[in-house]
Amino acid sequence: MKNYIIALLSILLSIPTFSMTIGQQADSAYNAENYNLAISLYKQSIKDEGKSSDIYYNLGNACYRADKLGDAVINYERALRLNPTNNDARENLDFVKSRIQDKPEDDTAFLVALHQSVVKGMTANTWAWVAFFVFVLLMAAVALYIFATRVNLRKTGFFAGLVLLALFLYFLFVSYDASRMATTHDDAVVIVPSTQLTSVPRAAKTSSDKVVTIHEGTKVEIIDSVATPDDPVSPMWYNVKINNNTKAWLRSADVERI
Amino acid sequence: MYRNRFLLFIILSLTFCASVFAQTFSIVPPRNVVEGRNFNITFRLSDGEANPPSAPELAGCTLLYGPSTSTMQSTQIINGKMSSTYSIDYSFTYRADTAGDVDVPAVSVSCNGKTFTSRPSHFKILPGDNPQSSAQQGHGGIPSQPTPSGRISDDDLLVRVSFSKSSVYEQEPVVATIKVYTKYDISSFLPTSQPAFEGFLMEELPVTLETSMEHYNGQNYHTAVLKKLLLYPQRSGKLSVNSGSYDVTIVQYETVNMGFFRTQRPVERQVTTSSNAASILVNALPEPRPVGFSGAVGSFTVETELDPEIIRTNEAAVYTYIIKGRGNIKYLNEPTVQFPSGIDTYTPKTDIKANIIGGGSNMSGSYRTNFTFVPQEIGNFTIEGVPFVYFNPESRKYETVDVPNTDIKVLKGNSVASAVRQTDIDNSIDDILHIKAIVPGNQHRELSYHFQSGFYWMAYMLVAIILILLIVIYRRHIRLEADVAGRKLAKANRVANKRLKEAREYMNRHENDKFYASLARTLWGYLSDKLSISASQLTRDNVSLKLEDYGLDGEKTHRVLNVLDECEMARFTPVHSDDEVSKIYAEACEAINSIENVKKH
Repeated sequence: MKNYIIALLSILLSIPTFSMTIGQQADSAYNAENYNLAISLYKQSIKDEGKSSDIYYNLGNACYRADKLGDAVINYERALRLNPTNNDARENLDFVKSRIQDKPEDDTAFLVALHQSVVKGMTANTWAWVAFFVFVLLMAAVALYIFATRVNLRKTGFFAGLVLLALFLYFLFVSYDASRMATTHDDAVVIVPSTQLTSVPRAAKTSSDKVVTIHEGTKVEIIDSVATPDDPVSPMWYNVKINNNTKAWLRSADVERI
Repeated sequence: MYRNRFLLFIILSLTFCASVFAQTFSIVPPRNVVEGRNFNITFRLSDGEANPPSAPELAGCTLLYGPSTSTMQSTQIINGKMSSTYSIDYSFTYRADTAGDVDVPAVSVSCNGKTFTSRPSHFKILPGDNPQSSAQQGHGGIPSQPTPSGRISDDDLLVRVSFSKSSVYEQEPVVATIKVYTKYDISSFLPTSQPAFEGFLMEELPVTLETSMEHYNGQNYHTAVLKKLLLYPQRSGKLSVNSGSYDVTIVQYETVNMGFFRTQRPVERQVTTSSNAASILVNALPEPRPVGFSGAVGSFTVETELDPEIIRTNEAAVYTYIIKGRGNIKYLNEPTVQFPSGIDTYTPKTDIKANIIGGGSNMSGSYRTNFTFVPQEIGNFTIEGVPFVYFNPESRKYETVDVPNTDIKVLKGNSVASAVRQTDIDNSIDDILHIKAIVPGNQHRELSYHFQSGFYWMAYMLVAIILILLIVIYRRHIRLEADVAGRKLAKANRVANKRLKEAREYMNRHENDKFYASLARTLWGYLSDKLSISASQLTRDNVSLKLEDYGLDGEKTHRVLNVLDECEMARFTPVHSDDEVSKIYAEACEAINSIENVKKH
């Protein structure tokens, strides 16, 4: 009797291990071209089983296949946030971006763009270890300066120490920036087919209130938000930045934070 | 000189002979005649003489006279070269009795033992002018000369356009003839507007400016063909030809009264006439048109050729598609031949050779399309034969000529392509990349960042602490290293004190020998350590010098050396009093102390 119960329990316990996870079910739904089911399964998997860069990437693919460009952009961005080295996600994001209607001008300054490309080169944790490694090298250079008896070696240690100190501080900053980028939710993507940006946090009344119309899939940076409980149109407005020159207000419901 | 003349004679005689022997016998083509008129049938024998031929029997004609013979001779000297022709005409005069077609049979003559036969010929006897239709009936015979200075009616001068067939298929050739009919002499003829052949492709046929006689609408006219055209109708329906108009100057003869006799003088008159508007029914090609039909109408055959037989890579070869036959060969569409991949092709070249056949009623020839190609790869390829579809207007059916496939074997060529052609791999993305398989257990509910973890910063602390510890340890080590001499001195003092203690023990036990040996060893060892003198250089002189350097004054040096000397001496003088022993011990102590004191300065 006792053996019987144990056997039954072991069968019951073994079922989940043999069956697929929700994420794998979503994969097979995607491969069966049942994209809407795949989307809901991926979302379920993220909720129940946790996040990963790949699952956001797959969800982005499913959204693209289901013609939800805005959602696809959001999920590729999320995949890249978790792992900036996810090249497939970057390629697909570039591809989907080429399909969306708006093409915001890229007016980022050169050095800023360079820094951002460095930040996106590796994950925040990898950068943290790089910074640590440079720190160890810095310590070694200090030791060389202190312990060496020959003047040449001491000089080498001194200047290498200076360079390494600068590098260490920069990599520490990169690591900080990467982890900040990965954890903050300042970027948002338009998820409605089109939305009107206004110069004031309310629905445009005159044509001078209107700034520009942006379309699904366009990424904006949220710099401020204001709660407007009395506004019948939207209870919350975001002040967003499309590029360095354009700042405007946007209904919070029209975008989704990444 | 003689020789040259002889040659000239031979050449001359040869040319003469050649012309003598070019004998021909032919009939002068008879023209149409009008009923009731007399006419001649003439046979011409050139370069020969023969008995006159017998008169041919002509149906509906009566032989009046013949043969009459007339001889013609002409001699030409061109550039000193003489040529002469000689011909005899034999004429027979007949009277045309009844209207109708007349065949002139072949007539033979024998000349110099050879028999020459003329070709059979053919002409018409036209009926006389219809009295009803012709108001100005002349004296019956040749086209009636209307009254001079009279009006020129439309019947007197007309231009006609006629088609050889009344109904054709699209693209089926038809001949259009523009003819002028006149009763007057014409001195000039200028077209002011040509008939327009709309909806046709035209091919002009050569015409001989010959006049003949024709019976039209009950009247006899002099006629001349102005233009003959081979037309290819391009669309179906009733196509008509616009009338052209002409400025014609005709010659009339005016009777003038010159007193006693009347004479006629020519008067030119300007007349404008226009041609009739002819039309033709063009039938559309039957539907449905088969696949591959591209407008060829007629009857055709197709051949293909391949040149050279052995084909090599990077060497040009030609595949020729030849359509032969009759029909609208000039207006065919270029066939499209698909070459397999791995073969570069050039723009095909088409060469059309077409001749008019059937007296201008059709066209035959060949339509060759050369496809020049350069194989790039070695292997066996097949050029698929393109079937040729045409419409045969005679059988009123579409017919297909099947063209067999051409197999080609490409061998390796000797010549190298001027530039290696590489195919660009089309790597432009036009779709997203596929999903990545989800690996269970790779998902994280919470994401951790080293930057925010204490553990990460602890690692820094650890490295820093290790360095600080290293520095501290090193510092201490340095300090000790820097005090090496001091340590040696301290050691010397310590050792000296130890040895002195040993020496004092020997003194207390009155073991004087051992005492002196110990004391001497103590002093020498002390000095060696103190003054950094190696054992091999430890002599009295060296010690004296070093002590001076060390900063010990002369008197104290002397005392140190004195102690050393006494110790050496005492070792070889066996008996010593206790006083002596204690005195030298005190001196040794004094000496060491004095050296120690120097150091402290």
